[in-house]
Amino acid sequence: MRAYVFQAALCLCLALGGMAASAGPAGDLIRQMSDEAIAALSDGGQPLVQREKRLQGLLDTHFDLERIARFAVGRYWRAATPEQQSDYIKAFSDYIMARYARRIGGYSGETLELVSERPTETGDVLVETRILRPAGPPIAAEWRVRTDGGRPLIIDIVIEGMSMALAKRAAFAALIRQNGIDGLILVLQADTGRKGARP
Amino acid sequence: MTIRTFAAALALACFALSASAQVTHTFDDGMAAFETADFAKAASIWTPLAEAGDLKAAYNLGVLYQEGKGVAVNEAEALRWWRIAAEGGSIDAQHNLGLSLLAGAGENPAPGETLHWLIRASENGNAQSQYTLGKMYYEGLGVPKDYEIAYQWMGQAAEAGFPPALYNVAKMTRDGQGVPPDMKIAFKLFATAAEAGYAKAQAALAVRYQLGEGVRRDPEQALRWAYRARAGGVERAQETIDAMVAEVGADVAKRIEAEAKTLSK
Repeated sequence: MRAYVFQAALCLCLALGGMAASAGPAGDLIRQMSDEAIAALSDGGQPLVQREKRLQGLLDTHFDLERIARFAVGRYWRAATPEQQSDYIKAFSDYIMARYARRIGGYSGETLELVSERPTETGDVLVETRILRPAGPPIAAEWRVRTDGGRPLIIDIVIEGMSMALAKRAAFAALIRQNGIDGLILVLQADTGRKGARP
Repeated sequence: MTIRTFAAALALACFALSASAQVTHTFDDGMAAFETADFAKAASIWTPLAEAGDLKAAYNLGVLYQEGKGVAVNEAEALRWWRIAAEGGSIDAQHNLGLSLLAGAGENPAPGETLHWLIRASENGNAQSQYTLGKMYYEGLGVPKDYEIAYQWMGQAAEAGFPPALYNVAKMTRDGQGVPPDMKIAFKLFATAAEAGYAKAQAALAVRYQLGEGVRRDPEQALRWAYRARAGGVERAQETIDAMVAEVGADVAKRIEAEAKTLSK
């Protein structure tokens, strides 16, 4: 159930317009991503598949997928061979991009409100936002942004106090204990490999 | 009597009217709505069609539920529609159902159900299902490890031209897993996958040229493919690059790198 909330929230956050002017580069990043997502979604001249490709590109550009992927397998990273590591990074990135870009369609008039930006003790910036929905109470979404080599990237989303990265880590640990990292890779590939709508 | 007949006729007429009102939307109308991102409309068109037994509508409805388009995300509902379509013979539905169950969707699927649908989709020629079965048997994931069965499924996916399967069959042929080892055949399989743009196969092909395994040793070819593999994100190709640059010299290496760059674009 929690997973669905994350997916829904991420979709909403990608598909936001009219965010308040923000102060720092982290807030700007979230706003820029929203603007780009809106542009991609409103381009009715492009086939749906192309629009989803553009959304995938946005995720690839603004999220530090490799860092999130490594965090999500925790201590198992070091035990993996270099080939397993690169296969896993690819499978994880494909999984996140396909899953979230495909779900953007759920967008229905939500807006994002920037609440605050604050630095953490680890040097990251937490961008606190609220997703305002036409129906239902607002959802609290925090974006953890890390600046590495001068470029801010999203490394986690916290929805209503629950971290996506931590949730993935717990789920993946269970899968790895059962079938090893190869099992996790296959599961991620299976999730991504499902086909979309057909004419 | 007359009144009863009249009432029956009226009821029939009403039924016919309401039925014709329902079938004014076709599957293609739903697809048109889907393409313009009006997913709620697509769902409202496909739902009655799927309920009336339209397999294509049932399959696409499953996709809407899985992706949360026009309806709330509901994996159980996605599986339900895919099961209906899969049992009716939809290969895409068989494939999606098998992969979903493998990925952990659905509450306690019956033992062997994942395998059942993946095999059905594979027998119907779905290369990715064949590849998935190959991987499951190769790694022993959810089934007993068996290189021969793995080779059979992986081989079918490779014959269909699925690059990751070509690469895996090449490795199995090189290592003698499920098939007698044969360096020449392995080389050809790596080459086919490499030419299809599969970066891991390009790195492996570079190593074949580097070592002269299954092909005459050729440092320039090794370098050419290693550059392409690295451009495709395979970091370990750097080892081949370093070794081969030392052998062919910086000038030749520079020319080959420039060629590889244009090819990778």
